[in-house]
Amino acid sequence: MNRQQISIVVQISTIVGLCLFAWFLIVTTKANLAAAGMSSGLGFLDEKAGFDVAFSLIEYSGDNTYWRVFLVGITNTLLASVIAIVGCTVIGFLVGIALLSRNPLTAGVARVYVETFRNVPLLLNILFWYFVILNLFPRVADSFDLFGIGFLNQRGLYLPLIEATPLGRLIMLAVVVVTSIGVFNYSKRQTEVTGFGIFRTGWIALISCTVIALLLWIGVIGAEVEMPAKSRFNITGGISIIPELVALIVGLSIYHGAFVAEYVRGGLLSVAKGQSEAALSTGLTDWQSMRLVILPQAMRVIIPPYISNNLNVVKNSSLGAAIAFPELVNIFAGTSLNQTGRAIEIVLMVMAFYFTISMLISLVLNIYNKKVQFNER
Amino acid sequence: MSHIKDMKAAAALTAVATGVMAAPVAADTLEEVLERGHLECGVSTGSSPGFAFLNEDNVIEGIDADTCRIVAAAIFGDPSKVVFSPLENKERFTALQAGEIDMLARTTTWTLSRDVGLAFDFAAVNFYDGQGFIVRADLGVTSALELDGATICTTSGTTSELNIRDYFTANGMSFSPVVYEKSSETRTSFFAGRCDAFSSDASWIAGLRIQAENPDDYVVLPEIISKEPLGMVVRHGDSRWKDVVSWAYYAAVEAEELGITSENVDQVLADNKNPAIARFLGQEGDLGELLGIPADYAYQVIKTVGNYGEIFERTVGKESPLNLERGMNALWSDGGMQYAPPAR
Repeated sequence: MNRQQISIVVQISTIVGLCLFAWFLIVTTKANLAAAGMSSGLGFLDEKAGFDVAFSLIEYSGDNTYWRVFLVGITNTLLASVIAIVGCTVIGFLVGIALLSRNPLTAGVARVYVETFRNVPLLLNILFWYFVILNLFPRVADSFDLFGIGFLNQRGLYLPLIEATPLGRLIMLAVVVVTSIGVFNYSKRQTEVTGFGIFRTGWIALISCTVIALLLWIGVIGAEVEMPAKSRFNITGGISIIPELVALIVGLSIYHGAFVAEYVRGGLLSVAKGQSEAALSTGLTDWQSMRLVILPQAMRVIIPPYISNNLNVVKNSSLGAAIAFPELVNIFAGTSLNQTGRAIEIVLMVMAFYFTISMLISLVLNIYNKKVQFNER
Repeated sequence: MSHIKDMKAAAALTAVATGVMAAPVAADTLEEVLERGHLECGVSTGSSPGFAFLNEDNVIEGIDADTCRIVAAAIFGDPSKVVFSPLENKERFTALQAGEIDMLARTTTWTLSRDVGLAFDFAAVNFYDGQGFIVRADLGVTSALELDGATICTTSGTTSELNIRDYFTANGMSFSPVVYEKSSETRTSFFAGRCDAFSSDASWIAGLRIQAENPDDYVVLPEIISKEPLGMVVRHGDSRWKDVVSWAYYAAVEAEELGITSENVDQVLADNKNPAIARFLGQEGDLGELLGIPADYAYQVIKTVGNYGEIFERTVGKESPLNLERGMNALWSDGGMQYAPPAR
């Protein structure tokens, strides 16, 4: 046998060995569970959960099943993670650039931020923001009145809920699509004429929001508006953003922003100094040379650590359980596990979810990573 | 990038995995305990006044902690031969199932699904409790039935969580739940005003109130919305071990009924002419031998830990800050429910 054949044999036997081991674990576990008189299986997912959840993006009440609880947990985890990833990315890039600023005050402040938050455990960070919110904002009885359209107190931010009719939703979608096409075309022409594009996302958001607001105002889009109102104990009606969600997102964004800032700084330093000198000498401004010349080259260094940062954001969002944010670990691996006692099934499901999400993030960002790498010829 | 919580979660997970997967849970717990030389007992994380609370001298005190000591005293004649495992609500059952602890005395409500579905046995009830509510006094609420629309804080993994929903649904009311992982965060948030009411076992609420900066700012509502028999839990299928735990506990209850205390037990033993007491204290008969523990187990329990009444008063009763009435926990002969089957 040559070396290649030996290596194939070794690999195959390793895989077979691992499969056998997994099989052994499953069989022993089932036998032990049966011996202990504990039931197993996924049948519990169809049972009624019987507990309420404070915050959910999808329709949920205590009459729903444990499977629904799983879905609520997933959506809440994803909501917090996605916003926190955007948050830490924005903070990270701004602070990362600031770290290299020629202005000592800017660089100093950025350095203090990074060192402070990178060196404090995330759980403390989240608890800190949570109790700051609870103690900073007024009690329900003394809520801030937001110009008659909403309320702000320690239990959340309350805004009117605008529920459009199906036709109204179609019109809104159409507005966004038409605006996007228009802005992209305009941007393309601008680039051809002047050499610079425009800030497309910003313009799309601004124009479509204005148009939709106008259409709502004159009644073209039919919609029902539910205003938040004070009741005996709480503000009810409308939509509310709970302090647990805010504290979790703020904590995650600030903590992970400090790491992203360091990745960005490293990336920027990896670009040869001649690049920025050359960019400036062609007449680009500081910001233009950063955006058009330096950052694109820095990305190939920034992306790999940035991928693992985002994986960590998703996993660390499970700390929301400590401050009662109803994410997957809190309501599924916590409450549901306790009510049903199905530790193995539930923990495996939660693990499978985090695994899948992490793989998806890696996949997407790896594709992006390939795009930003130098094309060597 | 990892932190304590992650590690704890991982530890719990590993416990499930290794515990249930690898080693079949030991069939004879008593044998194991004797061999090891100490009892492993699961209790609250030291922040549950009256039940398991870490005092200034770093000693865990409380009725749950003393229940563990009773069992240690019965087996070893020494209440200090117990190692306490502080457990969160959601860790407690896994720890017992995986064999990390020998018994659980952690304000655990005896329910059918836990008894049968989780494959446990409840050895005895060391505290009869019920779920209640505590609210901020300035809300002017005087009954739980006025709580429609209120925000209610509770801790995850408890029967309280389900009881609240049942109670509100049954009374046609709604509420919004805020569920924390740990009771310490639940407490801080409640005091910070995150919720209108806090719901848990009445004994726990009494403990919570005295921890407030100004206890008069909070009112305990009169309604008790559930039955919460809090008991000692062991794994199903080890009857001998369950018997040891049950009868060690009953010794403390029986002692109170017979009027034997930690102070007078030696006197009683010296003066005794009553054969029932002689059997009970191990002077004659083979009751301890039947259980597989020393003949004088009851004497050791009474002498080193005390009778049920003594334990109750010093941990949750009149001599403690909680100042709870005996109520349901009085002896059956005083109109309560604490009742020990005869030791004969």
